Amino acid sequence: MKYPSISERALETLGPQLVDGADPSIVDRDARMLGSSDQDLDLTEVIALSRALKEDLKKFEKAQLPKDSFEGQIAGQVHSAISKIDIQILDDKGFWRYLCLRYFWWLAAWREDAFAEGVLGEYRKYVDAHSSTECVLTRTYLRGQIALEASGEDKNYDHASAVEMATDFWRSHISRVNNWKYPSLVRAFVEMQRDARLNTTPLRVFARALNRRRSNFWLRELSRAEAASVIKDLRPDDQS
Amino acid sequence: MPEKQISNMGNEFRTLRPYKGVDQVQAVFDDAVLHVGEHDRIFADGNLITEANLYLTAPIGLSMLGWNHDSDETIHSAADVIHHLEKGLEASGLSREEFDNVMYTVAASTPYLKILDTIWAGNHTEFKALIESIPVAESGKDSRPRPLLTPSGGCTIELVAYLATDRDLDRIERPMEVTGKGTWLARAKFDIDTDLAEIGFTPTPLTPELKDHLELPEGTLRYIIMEDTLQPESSAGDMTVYVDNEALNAIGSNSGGSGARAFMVQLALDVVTAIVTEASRQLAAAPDTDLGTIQGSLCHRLIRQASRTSTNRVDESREAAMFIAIREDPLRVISEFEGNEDDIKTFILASIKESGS
Repeated sequence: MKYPSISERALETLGPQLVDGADPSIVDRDARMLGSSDQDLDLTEVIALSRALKEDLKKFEKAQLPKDSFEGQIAGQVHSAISKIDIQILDDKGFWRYLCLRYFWWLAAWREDAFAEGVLGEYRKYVDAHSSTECVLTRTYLRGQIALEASGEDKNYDHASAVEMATDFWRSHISRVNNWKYPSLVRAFVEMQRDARLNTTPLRVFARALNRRRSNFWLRELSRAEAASVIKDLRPDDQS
Repeated sequence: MPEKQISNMGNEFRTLRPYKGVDQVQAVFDDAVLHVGEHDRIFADGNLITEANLYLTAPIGLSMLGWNHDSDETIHSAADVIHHLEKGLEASGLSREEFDNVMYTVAASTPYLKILDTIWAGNHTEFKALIESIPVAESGKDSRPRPLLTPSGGCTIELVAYLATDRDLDRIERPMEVTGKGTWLARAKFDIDTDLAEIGFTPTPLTPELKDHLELPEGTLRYIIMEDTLQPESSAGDMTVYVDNEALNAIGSNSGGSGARAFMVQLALDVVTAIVTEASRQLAAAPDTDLGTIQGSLCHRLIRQASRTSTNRVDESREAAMFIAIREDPLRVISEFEGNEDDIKTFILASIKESGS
């Protein structure tokens, strides 16, 4: 399967042009086709996703909700569409870079204030796919993936949008640390934060206690009830 | 990093686990070997950088019998390994009837796509039957675990022995015994990366526009910004290494030259210095921090890389000593790195690239 890829170097010339309002189709000029087969990767579903989410954003903006809510709402759709692509292609950061620049630039530019000043060094991490937990498209995809696993037999994405204002929560406490490896723990952690939100400082203290617990336990096999019990044990009653 | 110097950095070693006997089980796991293809082997807590094609197609198996590089054969017999393992379980307080309450899991994970596949799981009886070789991946791409289809992201294969259920026992009469479901008795990790993986950090061109924005002097050659160096499982994205764009272009066009090479070594040293200095400052502010709570952080990855022995295994005593040295004597740690260019080279290639641990 042949698929498009954008290099870091190409990003450095394309980024400023896109910031200046160039049409994203310019990205195709610099895309290299990688892969060995004669058949090209079919991006129809991804293109349709981009268009549909753009429309959704128009409606979302009318509701004047925090931007993070949109990221949580679309995480399932993003994961559902993109996860159908071969894992070896998804493993290539250059492919994600292509998707970010060609079809989802509008999402990153809307989502992150760093684009406002147009300084590449400030906004590149949101589109260069170097860190999957920073880049807007990859982190949204991962949020969907982790939420789906956390739902277990329910097989839905509900937990991706269960907590409001949760971008930092997902990045710092779920996807960037090893908690993502433990689906039932993720579910219990998200539900705790949904039902009795901890603010930044107590959340950090709680997360440190959870890290300690993780360092002595293999938590992959915990049932839903057992994971909820672990979370409850670590949280002092009076914290918020 | 020379072993003797590091060993002298401190003499207070961490208590590894608050449970009796588990060190004996861990000693058995320390001899686990991952066989990758016909010729490559990774020891417990070691890593391998291989070709992408091998990563995607080579048969992989996990053996508990050890491996002697010189004689090219296993060290132990299956019967010996089982004997020592069961002695360790008994030393941990488990009766023979409880042995099958210990579960063994082999899991593969890839950090970039956050995918973890359980490859094999079984109880003690089932583990004993496969002690010579647990199949991890067959030859070819078909039915391969997903993390072994990600040559850019690399993967970690992990073997864990843990309690499958709670043990109902009197903790006063039987202190220091493993009790809770999920408590692990031993684990071994094997990292596999490929030549496709990105190097430790990708310098960001420092343009005149960016210098102005960052309020840096016009002549600035390099500048490093990093977030929390103790944050577990942090990534290369948490650190930005800026290099003057003209200097970067000059290095790129003459990457094999001695000047370019010296600059890259100095740049790596600057990164080490920045991590050690910041980590030391953070540790001073949070004295209860221990190695267990900073797993996978930039600081931990630096320590881990510098604690590898000549056989590429992590020496936990050196790891603990270095952690203490960063807390108490950061300048000495930096000087140790300055004195060992091999470590710097390894660090550039392996230590801080985005990977889980």
